[in-house]
Amino acid sequence: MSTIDLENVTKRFGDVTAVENVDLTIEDGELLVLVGPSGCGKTTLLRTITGLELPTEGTISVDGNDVTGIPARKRDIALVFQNFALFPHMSVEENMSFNLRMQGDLDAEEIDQRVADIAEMLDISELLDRDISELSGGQKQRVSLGRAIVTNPAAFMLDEPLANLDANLRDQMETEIVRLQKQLGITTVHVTHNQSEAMTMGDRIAVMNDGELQQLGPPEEVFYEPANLFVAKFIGSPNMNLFDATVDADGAHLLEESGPGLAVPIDLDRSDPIVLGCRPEHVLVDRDDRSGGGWATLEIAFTEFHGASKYLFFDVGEDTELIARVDSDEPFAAGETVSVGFDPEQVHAFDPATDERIDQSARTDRTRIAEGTRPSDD
Amino acid sequence: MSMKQRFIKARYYLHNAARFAKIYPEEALIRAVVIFSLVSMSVFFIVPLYWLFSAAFKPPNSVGFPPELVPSTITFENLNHIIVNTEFVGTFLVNSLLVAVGAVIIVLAIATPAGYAFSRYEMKHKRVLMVSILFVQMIPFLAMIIPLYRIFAIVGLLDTLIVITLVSAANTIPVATWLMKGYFDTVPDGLEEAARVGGASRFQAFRIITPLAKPALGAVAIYSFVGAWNKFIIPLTFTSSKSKWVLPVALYKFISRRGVVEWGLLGAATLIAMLPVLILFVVFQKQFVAGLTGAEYKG
Repeated sequence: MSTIDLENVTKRFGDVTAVENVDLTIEDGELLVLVGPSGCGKTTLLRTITGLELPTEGTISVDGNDVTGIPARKRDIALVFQNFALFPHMSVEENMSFNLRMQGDLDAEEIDQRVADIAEMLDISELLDRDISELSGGQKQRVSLGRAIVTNPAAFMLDEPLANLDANLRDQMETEIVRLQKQLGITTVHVTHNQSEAMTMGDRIAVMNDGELQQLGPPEEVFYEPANLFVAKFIGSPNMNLFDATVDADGAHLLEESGPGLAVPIDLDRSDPIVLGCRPEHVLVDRDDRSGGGWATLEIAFTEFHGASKYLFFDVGEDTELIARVDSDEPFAAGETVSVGFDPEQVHAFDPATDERIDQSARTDRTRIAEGTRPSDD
Repeated sequence: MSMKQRFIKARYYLHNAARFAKIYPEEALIRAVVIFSLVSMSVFFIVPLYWLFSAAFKPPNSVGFPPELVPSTITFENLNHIIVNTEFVGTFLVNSLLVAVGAVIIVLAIATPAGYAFSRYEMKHKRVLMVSILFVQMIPFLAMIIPLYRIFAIVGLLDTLIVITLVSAANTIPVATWLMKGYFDTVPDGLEEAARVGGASRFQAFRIITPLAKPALGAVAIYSFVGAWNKFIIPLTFTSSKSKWVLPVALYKFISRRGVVEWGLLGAATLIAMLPVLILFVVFQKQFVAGLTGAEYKG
């Protein structure tokens, strides 16, 4: 258990900057998820914390002690790999006891005991004598988790541990890792490119792009108050609808040529154009013909069934679509013409010049424009 | 496989070949030419060997022209004579074994860490270094014989088995290093990183990974064993006393010492000289190929 502090950590490989000036504190006992698209530097950052890479600049400290130059094997930080990285020439038990044997401060009996305890906790006791090649993907992942936690490390690093598992198993392991982490109260950093996994698992989420930290906060905050356009696009599925808009005293007006051409009554003290975002679940869809600035009349181009919910796709402008998410029992069908509006309490404004979020705390008009179809909140 | 299964398989194969020939006559012709040339090349290599080996089992002085393919009488007189009455097995075979095993040990001890380092460490001019290692091997050996002779004379190693071992090993190390590097490239980095994060030093991590390169180690071992075993010019130039002869030299002296070559005895001696290499290849064939082609890593 420990706190990890990253100060101005930068990592360059030749001319390529993989991680740029990251400041981050991972609190004692928290599960922090590092999330971002492939190549955003999240894995490099994790490897830097572990000690497999040395930062080009900046310092890393664990519980206040600077460990920047200390080799991986002395950092007491365990790492779980995406491809499991189990030693194929050793049995499950030898793999699990490997770290303990390498650190060499326990006698054989105690090592056996520790391995047996962890194996029981991970429900792999009956696998201990097996060869690695005889295990399924999920079992390998458990063994690899076991090998990492058996030493009671100060912190636990997970590098996309679920990426190689099939979907059902992934959900199950998500839950299991969180349970294990809470049970042990171990400081954990989990890397993933999957934003829904990040929101499910994380106490806090750190969104990264191009080596830079974009936003750090609890999943709810990242979801409901994305700090910039990148986070807005990256978090949430399907992607947030984003349209150029102008602002006047009545609110934001979405441009007709590149958007649905409707108005959203928000109060922004600003004259420059903005980018307005609304998540598909906050798009209001109504079968009745609603007239007025708050609504646009659009034809459903096609629909997609997703079990509990249904996505409606509308063509607006050139190559632009607007997606709405409704309950799947709503009888909307392709070809139907409906009224579409944005829930003014659930829209996000961004500055197109800086991509940053524009704070809307000064918003006054919080009334709904109309009682349209309530979005599903699942 | 039972005889019947073999028969069914052969019939299926022929049928398939006939169908292929009907649909793609040109490709079939090319294939036939390829197969024909492969077969003729095999014949080119196998027939003389076969003739020599069959001579080993013929009674002395019955080797004539035209050669008989199947010996009419089989005798072990030649083999017996070589084993009992000459130093062929007692001294020369033992010398050859010492040299070959010594070379294998030296090659493995140097090429394994070298290949690992080339595979894993960032270093300046890595490509240049790797190519220059191979380049060393392209210098014709005959050009180095005189300088080497002088050097070994000064060091006082002439006429010892150590000379043959050292030169044979040096001869094999470049290719062996490339082979090991290629194989280590196919072993995922993650394994060593897992070891290092788990508390192993870089050297310990190397030791943990090395068993995974077993196929390559085997291939390199066989390669350097055969290389040392077949060395002829090196022992011929650098050793002189009979007690230091290795098999190829002994075989050579066999011919030249007598005005008339006793084919039966030479055949028997050659058979003995080839046996260890043949056995090695037959036993480790699979490993040898796997070691040359890369890892089949499953973790």
